[in-house]
Amino acid sequence: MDVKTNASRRKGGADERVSGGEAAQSRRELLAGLYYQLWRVRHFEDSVARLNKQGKILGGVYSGRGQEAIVVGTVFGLRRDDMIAPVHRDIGAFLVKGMSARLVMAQIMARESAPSRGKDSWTHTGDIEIGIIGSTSMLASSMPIAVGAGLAARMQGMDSVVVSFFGEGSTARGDFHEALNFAGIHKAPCVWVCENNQYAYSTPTHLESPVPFYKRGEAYGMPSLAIDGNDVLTVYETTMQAVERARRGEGGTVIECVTYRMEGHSEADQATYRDRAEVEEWRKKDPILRLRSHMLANGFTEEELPEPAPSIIDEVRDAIDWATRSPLPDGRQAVEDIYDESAGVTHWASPYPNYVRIPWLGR
Amino acid sequence: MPTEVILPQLGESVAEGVITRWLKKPGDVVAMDEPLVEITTDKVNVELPSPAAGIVQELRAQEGETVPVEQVIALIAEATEFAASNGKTAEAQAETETPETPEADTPRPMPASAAEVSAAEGRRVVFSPLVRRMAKEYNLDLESLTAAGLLRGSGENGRISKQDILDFVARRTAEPSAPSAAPSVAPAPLTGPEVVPVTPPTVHAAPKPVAAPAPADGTLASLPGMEPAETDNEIVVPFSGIRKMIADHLSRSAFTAPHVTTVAEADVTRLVAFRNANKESWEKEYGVRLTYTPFFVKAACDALLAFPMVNSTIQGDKIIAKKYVHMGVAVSLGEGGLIVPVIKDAHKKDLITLAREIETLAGKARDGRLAPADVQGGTFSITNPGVFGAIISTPIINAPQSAILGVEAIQKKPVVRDDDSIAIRSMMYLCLSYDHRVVDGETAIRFLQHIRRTLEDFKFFR
Amino acid sequence: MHEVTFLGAIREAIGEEMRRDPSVFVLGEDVGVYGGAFKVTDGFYKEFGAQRVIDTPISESAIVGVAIGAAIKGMRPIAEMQFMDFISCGFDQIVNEAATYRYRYGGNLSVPMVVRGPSGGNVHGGLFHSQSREAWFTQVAGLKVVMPATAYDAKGLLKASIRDNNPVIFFEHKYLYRRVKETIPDDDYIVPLGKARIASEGTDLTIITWGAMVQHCLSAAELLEEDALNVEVIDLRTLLPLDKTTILESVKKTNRAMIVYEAPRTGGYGGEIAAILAEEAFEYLDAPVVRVASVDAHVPFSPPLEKYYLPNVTDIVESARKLAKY
Repeated sequence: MDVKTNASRRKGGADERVSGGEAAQSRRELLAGLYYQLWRVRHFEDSVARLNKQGKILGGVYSGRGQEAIVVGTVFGLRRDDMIAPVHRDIGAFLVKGMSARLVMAQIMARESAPSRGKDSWTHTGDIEIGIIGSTSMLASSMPIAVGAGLAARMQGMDSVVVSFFGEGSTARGDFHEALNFAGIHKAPCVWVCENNQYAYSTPTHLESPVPFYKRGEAYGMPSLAIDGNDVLTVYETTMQAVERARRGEGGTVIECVTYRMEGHSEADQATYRDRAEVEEWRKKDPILRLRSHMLANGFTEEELPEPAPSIIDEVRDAIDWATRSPLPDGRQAVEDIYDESAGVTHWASPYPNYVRIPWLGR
Repeated sequence: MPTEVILPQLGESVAEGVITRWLKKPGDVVAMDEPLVEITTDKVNVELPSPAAGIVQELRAQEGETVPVEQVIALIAEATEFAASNGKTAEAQAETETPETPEADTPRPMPASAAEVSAAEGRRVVFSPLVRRMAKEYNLDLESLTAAGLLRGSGENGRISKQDILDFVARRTAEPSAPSAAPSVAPAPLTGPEVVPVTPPTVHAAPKPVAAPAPADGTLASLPGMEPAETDNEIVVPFSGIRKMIADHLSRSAFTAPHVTTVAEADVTRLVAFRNANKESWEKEYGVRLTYTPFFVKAACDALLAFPMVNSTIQGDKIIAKKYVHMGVAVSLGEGGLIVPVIKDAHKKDLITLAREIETLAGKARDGRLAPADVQGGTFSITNPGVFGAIISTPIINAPQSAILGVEAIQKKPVVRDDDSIAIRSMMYLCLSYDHRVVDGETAIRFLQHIRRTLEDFKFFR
Repeated sequence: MHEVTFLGAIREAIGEEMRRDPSVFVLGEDVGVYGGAFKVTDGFYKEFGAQRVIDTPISESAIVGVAIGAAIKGMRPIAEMQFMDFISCGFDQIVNEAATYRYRYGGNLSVPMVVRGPSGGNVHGGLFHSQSREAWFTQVAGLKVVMPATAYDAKGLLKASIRDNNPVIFFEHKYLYRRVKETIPDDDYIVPLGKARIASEGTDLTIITWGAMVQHCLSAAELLEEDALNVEVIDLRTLLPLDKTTILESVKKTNRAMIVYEAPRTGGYGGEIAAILAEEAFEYLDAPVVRVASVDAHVPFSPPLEKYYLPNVTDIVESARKLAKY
């Protein structure tokens, strides 16, 4: 497979970690795993913010600080063949889905070794081998693509599920509605995770939608609900139910995860349009603090809950070192990777599995 | 007048339809919008509603027939009309119809072509990029040729086209009296002393009239006012053709490049002695006549490599100084004008080779057998007015080159030597005309000194 | 060999590719039970079933987006725009998603898909059923843009597009759909993308054209023979990537070039070709490069308006005469 060959030529290839859900044998292991991943995402993003302030990285930095429970809670339980379509504030989802910290850091630092080889930054790339569908800056535009990927998986006889992320702000875009309508009609195996962090850049929710965001999903015939997006266990359990439902062929679910963007829209935004008291109120609902208290009350000791684990510090430091040492691309590579001139050969699954019969579509 | 029923266009891509079934036959009464016929196309099956009320006068298509869209398939007459026409044939009826007024075409606006634009701006000779390139290839001076009426354009406003150039070249090739290539400059010819001296026009003498090549197409003679009016005291020769080209070329060079001429004197006693001693043996051994020219060429080449600015060309905002020498050597064509064939890569060639090439090129020039390539690409030129006895001259640069060397007559002179003794030596002047925009005085003098030393030291065979 | 219309050739290409490769499927508005607004997919629903001939809601952005999602997951979708005029509704998905995916993935992803549909005027379709928007996509790296002029090419190019590993925007001129009938081979064949066709050889003047204008230009070339003008007509077939070699070789031979296209003159692809000739064949031009195109307006409905809007054979003949005389 062409894609695989290309992927393995990259240094620091995809992380082979078995995804969390499959590894977690017990509730204790699940909690430990979620706690580890929450810290992993936070420490990574905080390090990126620091590097940005030090002028060591270029381009936009969109911190998901305060929203980690959503990317961790949704992605932790997915299988390797499941797919995610994260957007700009979901860089953590890349890590949890299995892209190595080295590669994500190289991507942010515009290195030749990055998955996009320096062509674009941040979440505008991905790795289809481990099920990461990249986004663009046209918000909600990856939602129809998530539908297509989900339907394709079904055509290929697989029961893979696509988790598509979007901010509450982008529910105003046509692509959101076109995608959900399409998905609703065809019962696409997609789970729709709305990250309602209260602001579309500076625009507050009451200027974004006249109805609660999750209610939009009802118009497309999907179970739709709002949950506490800062409670990683609730996020995990709700999305896992939705994922299983989609896997059974029963269609999608819209899950509005209510959370708060602790930083500005980007590192360039001081977010002075917000009330300080509001920020402080949400600081108390920090997802890591909440999981930590829950675990302390459920048999974990302080020693078992480092902030963060030394291995995370090592992993991120190594990622920064590795990415920093990686060369920038040669300028002439700007004209590479535009066309695939290899012979047009269908590059999935052979022998070809029969199309899965979908009862509601008839024959 | 009966109403025509046409096959409508039932979709953007539909071009034809099949008459499936007529629902009315001639003579039937039909109401407005009443189904008249069933049509099948690639896209649809439809019943066509009648476009008028009346009586079906004629069906013009059979069931099962394929009909293009917009063709008339039936005629529906008003009841009175039908009665009136009863008895006439349907065909006759159709023929009496007034044909539909043909759709008048509104002309679409067209972009103004460059031809129209230049015509509006007044007549201006414009050469297309292709014509310019071809002119370079065939070594044609477009402006002179067109001004002389030798090259005429068949395009709009007399514009010269590719075909015009090809025709001109073909004519010229067919016409042996025409020059095989336009001369690029007309300095004094350089020939060996053994060449029988002729008196061609030189830059330092008033040009003698030269017969212009006969224009193959007779355009010249047909030009008004060009009929020669000779008297006993005057000869009238058309100032055109090769003469005009020479004139234009020299004027352009003279008025573009600020010319300065610097003169140096060289003691060539050893050179003269060598030549006199070896004249016959060379001819036997190498089959080439030993003239002074290859020595001057060789000495100039060495100096040019040392002073590349003298061997340069101005191109736009850049000066291109060459590290090679394509040496132009002026040759007299006798009555036929002058030409400057070029010895390619002269700096790489030894004396014998130079001597042979000069002899070959001079021969070809006199026989009119020079190819365009033989006269192109020169980077520097040498002219030899000395062969006709001149002792000092101020030659005009062969543009776009930057300098030209005039080699003058060798004369025996009493010379006061370093030890104050007086000796009889063979002396000559070397006259360098140079483009002062590119070459400084000091450079020119040092360049001449370089040539002088080479000639005096006489180290050609080391 | 068998006779087929332009539209029939397109139908054959899709059908044969669907039979050959199970990853090929079709989606679009009314493509299923109804067989498509122009009946391109007629019979496919019955043969391939609802899973491979997907009727979609009126959602051009989602149609293209779903196709992209399926393509990156390894399928070879063919998305139909009911009219290519509607492609503007799917524009973002094409130019920002489909075209950039491979680039954003550092060459580690392919998007093998086709967006196809009926384009062009001269059918009294009015403003929104007649547009020629091929130039919009020629500025987008990562896309291929194809526009056939014959039934043979329509079939071969569409097959090549379906088998290509890149997003291909395939413009089918609806004027040709049922007006063009040709005899084409029964065997499987493709016409490679990126190769122009010399539709008619000549020595005096080159006309570069594509789509329905090829027919017009060939008619014009015949008329011009009476003027002893020997016109070479190049049918580009693929606009992106452009076959510069064929164009330059021809113009270096004839030294006069004219570009004929149906889109509005300003900003049309003809301007790009004229620029290439100025840059790369300047010293071979014996006359200015001329464009014959539609006027800078929208494609109007009423027949005299549309007639005025579109370039016709007379325009081409007159411009060619002028150019030859220059």
